[in-house]
Amino acid sequence: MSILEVKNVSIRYMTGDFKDIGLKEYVIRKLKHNYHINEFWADKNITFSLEKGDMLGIIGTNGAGKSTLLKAISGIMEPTEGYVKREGNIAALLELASGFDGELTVKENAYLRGAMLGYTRKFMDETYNEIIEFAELKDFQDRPFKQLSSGMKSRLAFSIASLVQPDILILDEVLSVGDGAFRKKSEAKMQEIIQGGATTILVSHSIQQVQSMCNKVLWLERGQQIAFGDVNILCSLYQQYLDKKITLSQAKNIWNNVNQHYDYLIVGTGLYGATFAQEATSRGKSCLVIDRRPQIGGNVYCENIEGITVCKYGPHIFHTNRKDIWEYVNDYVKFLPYSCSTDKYQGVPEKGYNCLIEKLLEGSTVIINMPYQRLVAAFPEIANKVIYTGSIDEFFEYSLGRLEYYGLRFEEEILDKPDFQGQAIVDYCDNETSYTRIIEHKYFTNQKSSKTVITREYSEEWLPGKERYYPIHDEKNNKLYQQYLELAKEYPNIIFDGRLGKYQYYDMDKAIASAIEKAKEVLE
Amino acid sequence: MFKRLKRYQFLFEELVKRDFKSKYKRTVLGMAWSLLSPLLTLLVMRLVFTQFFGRNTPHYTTYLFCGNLVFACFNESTSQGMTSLMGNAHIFTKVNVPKYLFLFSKNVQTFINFGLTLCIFFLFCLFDKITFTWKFILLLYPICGLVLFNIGVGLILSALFVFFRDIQYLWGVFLQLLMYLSAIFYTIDRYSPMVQNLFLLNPIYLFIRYFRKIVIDAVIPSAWFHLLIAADVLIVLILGCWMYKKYNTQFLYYV
Repeated sequence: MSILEVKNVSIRYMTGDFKDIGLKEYVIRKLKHNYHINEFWADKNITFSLEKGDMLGIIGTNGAGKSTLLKAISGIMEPTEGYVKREGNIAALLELASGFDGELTVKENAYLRGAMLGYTRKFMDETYNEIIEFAELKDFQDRPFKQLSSGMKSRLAFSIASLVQPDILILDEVLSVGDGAFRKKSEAKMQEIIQGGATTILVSHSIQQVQSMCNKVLWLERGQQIAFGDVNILCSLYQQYLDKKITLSQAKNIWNNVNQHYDYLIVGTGLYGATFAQEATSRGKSCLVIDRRPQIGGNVYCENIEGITVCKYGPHIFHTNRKDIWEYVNDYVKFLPYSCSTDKYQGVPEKGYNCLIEKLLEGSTVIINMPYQRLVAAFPEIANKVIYTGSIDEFFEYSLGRLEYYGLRFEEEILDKPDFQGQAIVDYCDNETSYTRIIEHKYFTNQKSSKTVITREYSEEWLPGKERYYPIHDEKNNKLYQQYLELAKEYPNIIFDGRLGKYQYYDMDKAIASAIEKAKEVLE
Repeated sequence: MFKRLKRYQFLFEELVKRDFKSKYKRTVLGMAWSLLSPLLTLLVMRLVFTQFFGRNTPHYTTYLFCGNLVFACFNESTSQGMTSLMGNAHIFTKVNVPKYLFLFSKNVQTFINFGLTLCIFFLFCLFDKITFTWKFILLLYPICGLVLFNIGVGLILSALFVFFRDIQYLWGVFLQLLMYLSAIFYTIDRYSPMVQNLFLLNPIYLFIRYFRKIVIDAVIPSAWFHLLIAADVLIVLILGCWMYKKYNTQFLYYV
């Protein structure tokens, strides 16, 4: 039994001539057939429902139709189409600070507002002191309202409004009221009401706030319902949309896909994960690939800086002795020759590794900025099998301790000259230099640019939370890894593999090869 | 309906209070101002028109006052009622309240004014040597009628005002004309019976005439006269309620 049901709600605003013209002008224009009305749909086909105790966050950029929708939900406005069904009483706190009378005193305004919100006089008499105390306006209660600062006004508004004990509570940007101290107080008060079992709808521009308070999200954009559902995934998608990392239709697409069921959930978009996804999709399996980072590619992720492809997690030169692996990668992207070892096949992709990863991930649904735990918390049944390429100790929340790694640190610098050292890599093995090598990225593929980007590579102690590069294969860590493997046996549907999942260092060819082999093993 | 009224009683009281306070708060004489204005009109009319009409009209002061009393009430109630909905747009766009409350609260205020003026009217009657009879009780009929009529017209005007802002000026002009058509300072005896009947189409004239009949002539108007008033009141009330019902959800779009 849902407490609030919004079904196909559309709200149409009329714009055009009628608003500013008077009766005389109206009659004349009507006679001349020169009277124009345009319609504008502030909301179109919004459908969702809330259960008791739900906390819905409505997100969307300005003009998305959020406030209009709230008006329809609270009954101030009738939807042009569709209907809103409510169970129980509803309290809407919309644009709090307005709607007061400047000439009346604070006390008179408090009573008037209380009356508007449907309180009784008795109730106001009883709680007035509490209200004024909470708003910290005791010294101002007989002052005309217009003398109050805007912060004080909203404080009073909030204090009166938050006395409600409604079944459905609607909050439009009200939690951003007053100064820091009062905001804290008001948030605590809101939490109290919500804990009281009210179903709450919150409009906020703060994604953090929505994420921390809500369990469901409705995403509107230009009156269209983009998505309704789990807070974590939608907030993540919305953030990416705001950062212009994905378009609206991409976000919609991802959302629609995430509601499906997949054959494989692949955690990590590095070479291993991407290759596995490719192998699985080419065998007709459906794959959802997620990455906690804000980009795909794992440690081979590259960025284009000043026309130069810069590998953000250290230089990667592809080298292998296996012909099949070399042909495999060359099927997807073109490699330029670059020599660094004695292997038979060596090179770097002409347009960086991102291209390769993107090609490999074609056919899979990809969500970035999405930690594994967050996804499965929302969709425990999303996939039949999980390929987990993340760190195994993290999966078990470090319950037995942390696996250790050798750390690396990169310092990148853009130089305003076309050349720095004339070659891609210069090693520094002496003790005086703090860095171990300098990489000048343009020389891997001989890119033309009036500037150059160099990266100094330092080796340093690895600390929890930092990027993991090379596993430390001492007795202690090996033993710990074995213990984690024991734990992993409890999860037959999760395959821990890849560089971090296996606690191994993989060259790129090895990562790809092991993904292909694994795919063969589990898919055939 | 009764439950609904009960629910909004507190809000209604607070609205009335607010309207009252914001009207009188910053004037020295407060409520006396609103009494002074009809009295001044009365004084001017008395001075100016006595020479023309006063000679053959018995109790001319009372005659004038009857007209002024009714017309001033109608004028104030409708002019202020017109803007009552629009003036509270900031409230009904944010809180779900019955929109007619704003008009009602304005009308309460004008009715109180009317009541005070009415007291002074009776004082004047005393000076004018009017004999008070039991029939004065019947004045309740035109008073109730007038209040309801004002509300009806107020409903129509306040709804229209949301859509057409220039109604305000048009209504001002209309009121001016209406005043001259309501036989406030002249008698209609000199017109042909045909024209005299035309005056009955003016509801304001009906109210004024009822007052004069009772106060000056001590005569109870006929039954059909009562019915005529009731019909006028009903027509505007029904029209006003219908407009509010019909446009209730659309007001929001226009503010």
